[in-house]
Amino acid sequence: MFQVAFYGKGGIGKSTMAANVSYSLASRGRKVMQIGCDPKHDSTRLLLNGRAQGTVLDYVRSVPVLQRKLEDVIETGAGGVICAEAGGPEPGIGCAGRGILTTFDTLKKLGADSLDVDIKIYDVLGDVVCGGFAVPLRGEYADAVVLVTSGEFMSMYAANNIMKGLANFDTGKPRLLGMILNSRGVEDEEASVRRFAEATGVPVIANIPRDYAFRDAEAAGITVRELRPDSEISKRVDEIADAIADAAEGKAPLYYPHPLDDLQLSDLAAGREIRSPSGETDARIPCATCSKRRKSIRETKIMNSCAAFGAMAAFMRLTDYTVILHGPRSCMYLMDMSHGTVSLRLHRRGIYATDPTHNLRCTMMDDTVSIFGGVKHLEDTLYKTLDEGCRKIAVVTTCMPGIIGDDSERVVKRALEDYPDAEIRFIPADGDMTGSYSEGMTMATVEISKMIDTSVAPEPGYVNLIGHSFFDLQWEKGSKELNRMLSVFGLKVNCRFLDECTSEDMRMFCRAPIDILVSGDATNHVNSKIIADRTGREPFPAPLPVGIREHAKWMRMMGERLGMQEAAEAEIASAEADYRRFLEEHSRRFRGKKVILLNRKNDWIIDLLLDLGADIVRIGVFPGVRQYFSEVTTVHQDRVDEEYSLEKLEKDMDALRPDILISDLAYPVRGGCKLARIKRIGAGYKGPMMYAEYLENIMRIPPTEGWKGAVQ
Amino acid sequence: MRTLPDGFNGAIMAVESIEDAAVFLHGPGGCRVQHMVRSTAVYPRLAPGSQEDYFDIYYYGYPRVPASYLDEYDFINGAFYKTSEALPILADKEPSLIVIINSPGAALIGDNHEKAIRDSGLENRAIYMDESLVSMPMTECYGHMLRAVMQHLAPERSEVLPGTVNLLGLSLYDKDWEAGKEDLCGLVESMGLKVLSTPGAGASIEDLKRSVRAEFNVVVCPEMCAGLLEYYESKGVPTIRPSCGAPIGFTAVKEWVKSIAEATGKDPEPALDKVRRVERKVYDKFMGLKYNVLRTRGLPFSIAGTASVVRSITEWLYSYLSMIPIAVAVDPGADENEVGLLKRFLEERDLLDSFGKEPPEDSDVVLCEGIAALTMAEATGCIGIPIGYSCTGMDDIIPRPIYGIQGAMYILDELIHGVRGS
Repeated sequence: MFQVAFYGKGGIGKSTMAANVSYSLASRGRKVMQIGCDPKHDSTRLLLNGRAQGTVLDYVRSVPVLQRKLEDVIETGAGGVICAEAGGPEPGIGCAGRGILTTFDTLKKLGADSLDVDIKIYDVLGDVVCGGFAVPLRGEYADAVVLVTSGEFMSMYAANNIMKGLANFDTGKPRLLGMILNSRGVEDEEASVRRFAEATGVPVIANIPRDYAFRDAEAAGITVRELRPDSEISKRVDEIADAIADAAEGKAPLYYPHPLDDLQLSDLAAGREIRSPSGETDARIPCATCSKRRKSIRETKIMNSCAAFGAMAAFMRLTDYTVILHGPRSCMYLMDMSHGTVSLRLHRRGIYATDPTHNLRCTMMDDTVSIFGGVKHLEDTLYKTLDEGCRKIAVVTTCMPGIIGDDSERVVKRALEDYPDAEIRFIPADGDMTGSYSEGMTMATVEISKMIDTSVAPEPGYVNLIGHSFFDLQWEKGSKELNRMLSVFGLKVNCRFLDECTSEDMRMFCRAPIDILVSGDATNHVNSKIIADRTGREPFPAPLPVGIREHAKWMRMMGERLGMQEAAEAEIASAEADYRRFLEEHSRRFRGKKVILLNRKNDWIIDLLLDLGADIVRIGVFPGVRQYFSEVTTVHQDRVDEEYSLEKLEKDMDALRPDILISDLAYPVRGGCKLARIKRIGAGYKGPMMYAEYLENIMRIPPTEGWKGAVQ
Repeated sequence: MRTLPDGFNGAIMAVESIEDAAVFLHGPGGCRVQHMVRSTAVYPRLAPGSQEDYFDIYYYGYPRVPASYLDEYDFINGAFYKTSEALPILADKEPSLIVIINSPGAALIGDNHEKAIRDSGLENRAIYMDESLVSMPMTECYGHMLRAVMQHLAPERSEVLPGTVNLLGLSLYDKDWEAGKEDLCGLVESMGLKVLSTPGAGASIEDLKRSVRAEFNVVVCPEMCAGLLEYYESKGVPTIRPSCGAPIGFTAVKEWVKSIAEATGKDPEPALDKVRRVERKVYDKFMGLKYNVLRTRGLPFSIAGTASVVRSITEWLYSYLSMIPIAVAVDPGADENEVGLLKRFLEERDLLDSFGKEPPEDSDVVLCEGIAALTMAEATGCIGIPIGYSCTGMDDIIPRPIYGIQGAMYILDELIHGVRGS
C-alpha cells in the first residue's frame, strides 16, 4: 500500500483535489481509501454524493469501545473509494491534533489496516500547527506528500511551513512528490508559484485553472473527474493521479524540499526575485528556529512531582474539604498518597484521624474528553459533589486540561452562582506546567490563606505553626517534645498551617498572636510570606529550633517576646545540663571517629558531631541535590565541598578512611566504614541526642548486613 | 474510597513485568516516581552493586522507568530532543527491548518516537505506544501492551513443544505475584507439564519469543490477558480457559487443575493431591478452632476487584465458610462472561442486591485492593484483606498470594486471625 498526504492552507481546495484524485485513481483500477483529517470533515463529501459523512471522533464519543465496528466509520463512495472522516472538536475546545491521533488509532484498532487498499490518501488541515496534525507526515503513514497551494502569499507560506514540518519528520528518504497549483485568479499567480517552486526545489506537478466545472460538480455533489471525465480539469487531475501511481511504483522521483528562510519569504511576498538562502535550508536539517530550542534534558529542571500533586496534597490536609482532581484516573492513582504505607502508619498510630483518601475525587478524563474538552466531565463531577452535600471543594487541574485549554474556571464560577452557599477554590496547577510540588503547594497556600479571617482578635497563649511538611512532628516523640517546649511558656498550638485541620481552623488563624515556621526551608518561607501578606504580620523570627544551640537562642527570643525570660533561662539551663550529661556519657564512642557527611549541612548535625568529639573529615554536597536545600546555610560553611561527586567520595574513602558515612542515599562504603541514614528528628535539643544514640548503635553493628553477603 | 489504576499505569507495569525490557516514560517526573518505586518494590532485579550505573540523565539514580521529565516548555515545543537523547543512554544499559510510553499529557503533543527510534538505530529493540492509554482499563491495557510487544517480536510458531503451556493473566498487580506464579506453576508441573512462560509476570524477551511454541495457553485471570490471548490464538496456540474463573480458593484451584488435565490429557491427581492435603490440614485446624470458625458462619463480607477474582472468592467464601456477600463490586474492564456468571451465582442465592455495591464503611470483612482494605480495617476495626494492586511498603516475605493453594491459605489465615475473639 502506498500512502499520500495532501497538505495545504485551509480553504485552498485540498479536499476537492484529494477527492478528484481518489476518484481518478479508483476509476483506473486502484483500490483507494481517503481519510479526511480536518475538523470541518468535508473531505469525502464529493465522493458521497454531497453527503457529509459521520466522523470517527463523533463515533468514539458516542459508542463504547467494545461496541465499535469498522463498518460504522467507513463508507464506500464513488468509484469504490473507501471514505473516512476524522472530524474534530467544537471550536475553542479540546485538541484537534490529538483528534487525528485518536482517529488513526481507532481505525487501526478496528482493523482498517487490513482493508484491501492500494493507495491511501490523507487530506490534512492547512498548516502543521501541532504534533497531531503532523502525524500523517510520520514515516509509518505518508510515503509521499503533495502540497496544494495557490499564488496567494499565505498559501505558499503555509506550504513552506509544511516543508519545515516534513524536515522534522525526516525518514531518511525524500518524500515530497510536488506541488499542485490550484489557481485562485490572483495576479501573476503561476509565476509566483513557479518562483516559489524553483526556490524550494519542488516541482509543480499540476496547474489547475479556475473553472466553473468545480462549481457545477460541487452543486451535483460529485467530483469534476466524475461529472466531466473528458474535461481539461479531469486530464490534469489524471496527471496528478499518474504521478502518485508512478511514485507508488518507484517510477517518479520524490524530493527533499529547501524551505525558504524569512528573508526569502519576504522576497516572495514582495514579488521580488528570491535571494539565495542565508544558511543551510536543506529539509533534512531541522528549521532554523530549532537552534534556539532546548537540545538536552540538562536544560530541564528535574521535578519528581508536579504542582497538581502539591496543590492536591495541601487541600487534602483540610479535613472538611473535598478535592476534585481534573484529570485522568491515573493521576489520582499516582497522587493518592495512601498507596504508600506512611499515611497508613500515621493513621494507625492515631496521629492522623482522617482516612487518607477521605476526600479525593477525579473527573476521570480519558481520550474522548481530551478531544472534545473536559469541561463536561468537570461539570458532572463538581455538580455531583455539590449535590451530595459537599460545600467546601477545591478543584485542581492536571496536565491534560492544561494542554487542551479547558475553561475550568468558568465551570467553577457557574457552580458558585448555582450554589451560593458553597466554597469552591480553583487551583489551575495544570500538572507540572506551573512547576513542581512546591509551586503547587504555594498556589494552594495562596487560596487557603484567603480563608483567614483577619478580624479575629489575638488571644494570648496560642501559636500557629507554619510548614509544608509536619512529618518530623508527626513522630510521637517529636510531637511530645514540641509540646513540652511550648508549655514552658504556657503556649498551645492554635492552627497547623497546613496539617490535618479544618477551614474553621484556618478562619481562626489570627486567634494566635505568634506564627512559627516549622523549619526554615524555602517553601516554608514562601508560605509564610503569603500568610504575612494576608495577615499583615511577620512570623516569629526563628523557626522551630533543632539542636542545643538553636534551642537556647529560640528560647531566649520567645522568652523576650512574651516577657518570660526567667522561664526561658531556666529551660536553657536545664537543657544544657541535660546535654552536657549526655555528652559525658556518650562522647567516648565518638571521640576521634572520622565522619563523612553527605548532602546535609544542617548545623545541628555538625554541632552534634563536633560536640561529641568526632572528626568531620568531609561535608560533601552533590550539585544535583543542592537545589533541594540551597537555602540552608551553616556556620561551618568552610568545611563544605559544594561540588562533591561520586569520584571524590571514592577517593575520600581510600584516603580519609572514614569510620562513618552519613548520607540520605545508600552510597557504597568499604574498609569497615559504617553507613548511617540521616534520620528525621523533631524540634528541640532532644532529637539530636536521640540521633547520636542511633549513630552509636550504627558504630556497634557489622559494616554490612548478613543478607547481602548471603548471595555474593 | 478506592483509587484504581488505568491503562497508562497498566501499560507501564506490563513492560516492567518483562525481565529484560525497559520502559521509557515520555512524561513528567511526577508520573515516573510511583511507577519507579512500585516496579522496584514488586519486581526487584538489579544485580548487587550496579545501582551506580544509573546515576545518568533520565535515570537520576533509579534504575526503573527512566523518564523525559516533560515540563511546560516541552508541552508547547515538543520534546523529540529528549527521546533522541535518551534512547542511546537507555540502549547502553542493554535492555532487550525499550518501550516508549506517553504520559496522558504527552499523548497530546504527538512527538515523533518512530523517528527517534530510527535515528538511534534501535528499530529492532525499541517500540512505542502512541495511543491514549488512559481510555483503557488497567487490566485491558496490560494485555494490550503485552500483545504489542509480541507483535513487535513476531516469533514464529515453527514447532509445537508437546506438554508445554504458558500461564496467561498473571501480573505485577497481583498480590505477591511471584508466590502466586510459583504456586500455580508447581501445580501445573506436578501434572507432568512444563510451564514455558508466564507473560506479564517475570517472563523474559526470550521466554516470550519461545512462548508461541507452547502446546496450550492456560488462562489464570481473563481480564489481564484478553488482548494477548487473541494474539496467541491468531498464531494457532489453543486456549484452555477453565470455567472456574481465577484459581482462588480450593474449589476453583481444583477445577482449574481438572480443566488443564482434561485439555492436555494429563493426570490431574498429583496436583489435586496437593490441594487435598492442604484441605485436610485446614479441616483438622478448623476442627480444633471450631469456635473461631463458627464466627465466620453467616459473617457478611464486602469484596471489590477484578471480576474473575471477585467471582472465585465470592463463590468460595460462600460455599466453604458460609459467609454472605453484602457488597460485590467489579473494577472497570470486567470480563462480561465472568460478570454474568457472578451475577447468576448471586441471583440463584437471592443475593443479587449485593452486586454493584462498593464496600460500605460498616463492613465486617472487606476484601479489596491493597491499602484500601488495610485503611478500612484501621478506620473501622473490620477485617481487611488485600487481594490485589500491591502498594509500596506492604511487601510480603512469607508468601501471601491470592492464587493457588497458598492463596487459599492466605485468605483463610487473614479471616481466622480477624475473627479471633470477635
